[in-house]
Amino acid sequence: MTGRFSNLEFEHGREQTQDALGQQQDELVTDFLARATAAYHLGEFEEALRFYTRALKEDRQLIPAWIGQVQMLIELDECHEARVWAQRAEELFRGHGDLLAVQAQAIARLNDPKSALALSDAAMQAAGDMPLRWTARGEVMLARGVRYAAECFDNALNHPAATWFEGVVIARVCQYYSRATLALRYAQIALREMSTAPFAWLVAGECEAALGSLASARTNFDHALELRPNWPLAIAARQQAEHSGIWRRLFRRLRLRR
Amino acid sequence: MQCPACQFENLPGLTECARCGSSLVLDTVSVEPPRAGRLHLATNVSRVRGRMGLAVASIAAPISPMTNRVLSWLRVQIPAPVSGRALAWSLLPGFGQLMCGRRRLGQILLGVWCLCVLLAMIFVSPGWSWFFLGLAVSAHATGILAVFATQLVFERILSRLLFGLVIYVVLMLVVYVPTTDLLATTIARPVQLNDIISTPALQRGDVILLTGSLFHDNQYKRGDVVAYLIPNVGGNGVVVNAGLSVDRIIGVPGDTVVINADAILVNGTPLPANQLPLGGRLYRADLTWQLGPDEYCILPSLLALHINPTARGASNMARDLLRDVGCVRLNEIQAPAWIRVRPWSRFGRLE
Repeated sequence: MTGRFSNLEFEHGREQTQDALGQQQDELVTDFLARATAAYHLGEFEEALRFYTRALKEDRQLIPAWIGQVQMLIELDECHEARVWAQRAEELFRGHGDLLAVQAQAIARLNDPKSALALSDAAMQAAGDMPLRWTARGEVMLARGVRYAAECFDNALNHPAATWFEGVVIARVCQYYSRATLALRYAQIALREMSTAPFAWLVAGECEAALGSLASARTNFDHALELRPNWPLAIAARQQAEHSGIWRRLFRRLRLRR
Repeated sequence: MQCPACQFENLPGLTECARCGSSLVLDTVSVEPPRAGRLHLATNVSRVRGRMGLAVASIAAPISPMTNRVLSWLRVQIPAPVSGRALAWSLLPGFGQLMCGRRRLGQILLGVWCLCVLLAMIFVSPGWSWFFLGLAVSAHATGILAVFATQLVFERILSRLLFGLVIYVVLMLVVYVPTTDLLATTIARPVQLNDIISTPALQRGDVILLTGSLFHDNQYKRGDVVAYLIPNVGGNGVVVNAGLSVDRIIGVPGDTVVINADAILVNGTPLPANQLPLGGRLYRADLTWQLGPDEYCILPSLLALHINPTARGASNMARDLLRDVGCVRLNEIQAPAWIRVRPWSRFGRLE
């Protein structure tokens, strides 16, 4: 007899259960995303990638997590994989501007600025407007060796949705293309907005070191270590700055002149 | 079901967004990103490939506008289309240019063509003649191609090559091969003698000129040196290969030619020394020819008649064979042999 009633639907109870499950899932997703963002802000890219992946396991429609994954792969210098992953994400969410933008970034770092520009164009034409697209645009401009990169970066910074971390992201991009002066400028902008961010201090210090201002670089690394003691990245960067000889400094200056 | 990419509200059950085509069923999609190995090989290879592409593009970048500039300049310089008059004149090498205002180019082409033809005549032999003739055809084809320069300059290199090849082949087949054949038939034809026994008169490898039909009337007399066809005959111990042979006529229609151990007698009179076969008196067998109309007696003295003396009945067979081969019909005689042209050290009339 009980078997006959086992398939009966009790709508009210099921809805309640589903709501509770949905709420729990949303909380999990929000938590993973927050932890991923926090890890990213601290320069812990591997950890951030892990949290983005866990967030996606909960909700596969979470586009910021897909974008975050690609960004982390780029930061980890796995650009080929980043391109593959961005293409896959773009197949799932066709024509999404931010996904196109990160794809353009990955391709620009693989020395294919022409394709990157096409993707960046598509990203700019896509619906919506986010600072990431302007950052990617600036990166493509840097990769092509043309001017207007700074204007694109400024647009990203002035965007209403931009946070203090946008400056750090832009500084990292400029660092990758050996534009230390420009990178320092954006790192300092980020620091003005969030002076308690150790990663911003670290990036600023790296820019100073690249420019040969070792004393300033050391000061920046010290600030980073004050905010986050025993941070291996900052310790390694400080040691490198301390042991930087005259030839290496000279070489850096010469390299930066181009 | 709302599309996560474009927020479009789709009907339930759809797997792709009706507006943007994004996937709506993501439950089975893997979310683990691919990871690079320790060396980041794929990334580095892609970077190197990209850098090479950039290098090639940076090299090509300045060349491309330069090419465009040259093409634009050519467009201005050679504005005239192909004129029928130039095309008609260009059937004579260099004349297409000479008659249409490009005198210098015309003179050069005509000079090159004349030089090639002259060299073909000087180095007259089947191989060298065709080589220089080929060069002459090239000069002629260049003249015709120059008439089409306006059109061809904007074509792709492959099209231009193909067009040049077609012009060359058509010229060769339609103009030069028939002309050369006509000249060989009417004026003179070079022949290289490779399958003869060397004698003081002719040696293996010599090139001789055979007189064309304009200079002889198929009336031959005793003592004439002629080229004639011999058949492929052979038997027990004796072989004669078919081909072209050269030798002196010792008997004309109506003559009675007798060979014995002492002399060659024509109509009972011994043959004078200047009318003996080119290879001398090789055959001493007892033979008699009574020559009918259109029959000539030519002893093949330059041929290597392979006689095997140990074969049974070889001497009889050789005699029978010589009787057949020595009697030549008029239609088997090709032409009188005129002069020996190669080697130059032995240049002279064949007598």
